[in-house]
Amino acid sequence: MRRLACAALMAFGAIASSAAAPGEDPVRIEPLHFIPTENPSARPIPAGAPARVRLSSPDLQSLADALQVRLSAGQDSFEYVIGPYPQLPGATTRTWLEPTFVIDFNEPAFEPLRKELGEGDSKLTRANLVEYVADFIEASEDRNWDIASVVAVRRAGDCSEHAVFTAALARLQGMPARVAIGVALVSEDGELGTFGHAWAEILENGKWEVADAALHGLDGTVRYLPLGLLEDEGMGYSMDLIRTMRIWIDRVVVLGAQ
Amino acid sequence: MFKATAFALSLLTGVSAYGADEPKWLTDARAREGKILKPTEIRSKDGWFKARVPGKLVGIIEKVEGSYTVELDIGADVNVACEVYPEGINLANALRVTFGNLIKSSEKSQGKVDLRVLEASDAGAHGAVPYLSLTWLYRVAAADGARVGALKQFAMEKGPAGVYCAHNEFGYTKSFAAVTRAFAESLEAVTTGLATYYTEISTFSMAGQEVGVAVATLERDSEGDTRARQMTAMLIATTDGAVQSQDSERIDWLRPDGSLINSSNTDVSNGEVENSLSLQRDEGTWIVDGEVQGKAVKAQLPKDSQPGTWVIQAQQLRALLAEPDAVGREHSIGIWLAANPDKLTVEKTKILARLGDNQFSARGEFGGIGADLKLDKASGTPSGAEIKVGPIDARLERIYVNGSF
Repeated sequence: MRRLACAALMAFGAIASSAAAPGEDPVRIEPLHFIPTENPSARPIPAGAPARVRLSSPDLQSLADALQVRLSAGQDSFEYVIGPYPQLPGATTRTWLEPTFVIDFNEPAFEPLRKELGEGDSKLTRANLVEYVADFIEASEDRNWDIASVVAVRRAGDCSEHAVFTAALARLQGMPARVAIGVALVSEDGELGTFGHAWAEILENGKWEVADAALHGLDGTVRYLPLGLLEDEGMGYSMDLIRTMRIWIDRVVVLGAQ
Repeated sequence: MFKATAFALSLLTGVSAYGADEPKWLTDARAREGKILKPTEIRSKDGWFKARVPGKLVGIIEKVEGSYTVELDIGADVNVACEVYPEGINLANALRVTFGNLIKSSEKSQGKVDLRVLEASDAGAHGAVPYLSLTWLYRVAAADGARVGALKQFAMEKGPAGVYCAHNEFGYTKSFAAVTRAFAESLEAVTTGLATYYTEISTFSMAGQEVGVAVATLERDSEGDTRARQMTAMLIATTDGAVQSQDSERIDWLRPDGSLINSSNTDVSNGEVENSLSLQRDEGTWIVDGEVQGKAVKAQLPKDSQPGTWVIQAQQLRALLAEPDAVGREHSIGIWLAANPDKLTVEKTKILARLGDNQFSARGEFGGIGADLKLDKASGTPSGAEIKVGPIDARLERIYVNGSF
C-alpha cells in the first residue's frame, strides 16, 4: 500500500510510536493518520461500488452525529456505507469565494498564477485544476499547515497544502471552494487502507465535489468521508482544525461492497 | 525512554522486525563503554563560562561566530563535541538541524545515506535544566561497502545559554550521558539575567514516548514587575526517518498583581519562524501585531477584552482549591493565545474530585480541546494532564518545581 504523505489531521504534527519493553517485540511505528483497517474477506471492493464499513471511534456519538447516524444504546461501533459523496452543511452566510487569511489568493504570490491560469471564460475545469496543483506541489512531510500564499511560493507540502492551494486557485477562478477534513478509504494493489486526510471541495451544479490533488494519479480507488470543514479561515484557523479533529475514526472494518 | 532497537535494526538489516537478531559486531559496538573520567574544570578563554565535566578538553575554548566549541576526549575513538550558545538555542531545532548536517556531510564525504532510524528519544530535566536527546542509527552506502553509524545528541537550556552536544560513535552511552549531565549541573556563565523566583519543567509524551519539554519561569525585575516565560520544544519523528521540530517561546510581562502588561510569542517550526506576535495595550485597546506564516498581521482584541494570565489563573485556582466546597466548582478565564490571536480563548477548569491532601482531578477545556488534569493545590498549576484530541493522546507530566508565586 502506498504511504500517503499527509499530515492533515496532525495539528500537533504528531507521530504515534509505541514503546516496546526490552525483550518484547517492537511495535511498528505508524503515523497517527493511518487508521487500522481490516478487510476480513480479503476481497477488493469494485471501483465505483459503495463500500460497507463498520466504524469505531473514541467518541462514537460525535462521529455518528457527523455522519447523521442514529445510535442505539450500548453500541461500540456502527455500520456505514461510503457511497455518493456526502454534502456537509457549511456556513450559509458565506459564498466560499472570498479571499481569507488561509485561502489568500489576493496576495502578490498569486499574481503570476492569475496571469498563467487566466480568469473568466478561460478558467480551468475541476479536473484540470487538480492536475495543475498536483504538478505544482512537490510532496513533502515538512510542512504543518501552510496558508495558500506560502504554498504558492514554496510549492511543497502534504494533503493540507494541496487542499488549501486547490481551494485558493478555484476561488481565484470564481469557483466556490472549501477545505474538507476527514478520512479516505483507499484501495490500491488489492489492499485497503484508511487515512486521515484533507482535500478541497468545489461547488459544481449545486453539489460539492472532491478536488483532491494530493491523491491525483493514484492507481487505485479513493472513497472520501468528510467529517468536518475548515470554517474559520482567519488567523485562528488552527483552533478550528483542532475542532474538526475531535471527530475521529480509530478502526475500520471493511464489510464489502454495498 | 522509548526504545525500538530491534525495529531499527530490522530496517538496517532488511529483515522482519519481529524476532530480528542483532549481529554480534553491532551488539559489541553498542555495548562499548569507557571508564568515566574524573570531572575536570573547563573554561572558555574569555572567561564567559566554566563547567566541570568528565572528559579531557582538546584544544582551547574560544568564541567563534557567536558560540563556543568544546571538544572532549572521553576515551572513545571519536571525541564528544559540544557547542555553547550564549544567546540560547531552539532545543528541538538544534537536534534536527545538526543531524541533517551530519547526513549532508556524510553524503559529501562517504556516500549516500540510504537509511536513518531514530532509535531513541528522551526529554527531561537535570535539576532545573531542561533537555532533549536523540539517538540515531544511519547507514552510508560508501563505495567500499555499507557503513553503519550512530549519533547521540543532547540539547539543553540553562539560564540564557543553550548547549548542544553530540557523539558520533557506537557505544559510550554512559560516558556521553555523564558529560551532558555534568554540563547541565555545573555550567556557570556570566549573565545579567533577572532573579528567577519560580521554575517548573514538564515533559510531553505521546503513546509512551517522550517527545518534548516545557518550561515556565517567573523572574522579577528591579521595579517589581515579572517576566513570565514559557518555552516548549518538541520533536516528532516522520515516516521518512527524519524529525520535525517545534520550538515556542512566550514572554508575558506582568504587574505585581499578576495582570498583563504585554505579551509576545514566537513559534518556530523546523527552524522557520511560523509566527511572531506581540500583544500591547494602546489607549485602552489591546493590539496584536506581528507576522503569521510570514504575513504581516495587525488586529485588535474585541472591545473591553482583558487578557488573563496563567499566573492569575493559577492564583485563582489555588484560592478555589483551598475552599472546602471546591469539588464541582468551575473556573473560567480568557487567555490570549498566539494560535487564536485576534480574540481571547476561554480556558475553563471544572474541579472533579479531591485526590489526597494536595491534588485534585479536574477537567480543562479550551478552544475545543479537553484535558484531564491533576491540579496541584499548592501552586494551582497542573502537575499532570492527559489530552485526547482525535488520534492524539498526549500526556504532560511535571517533573520539576522550584520556588513559589
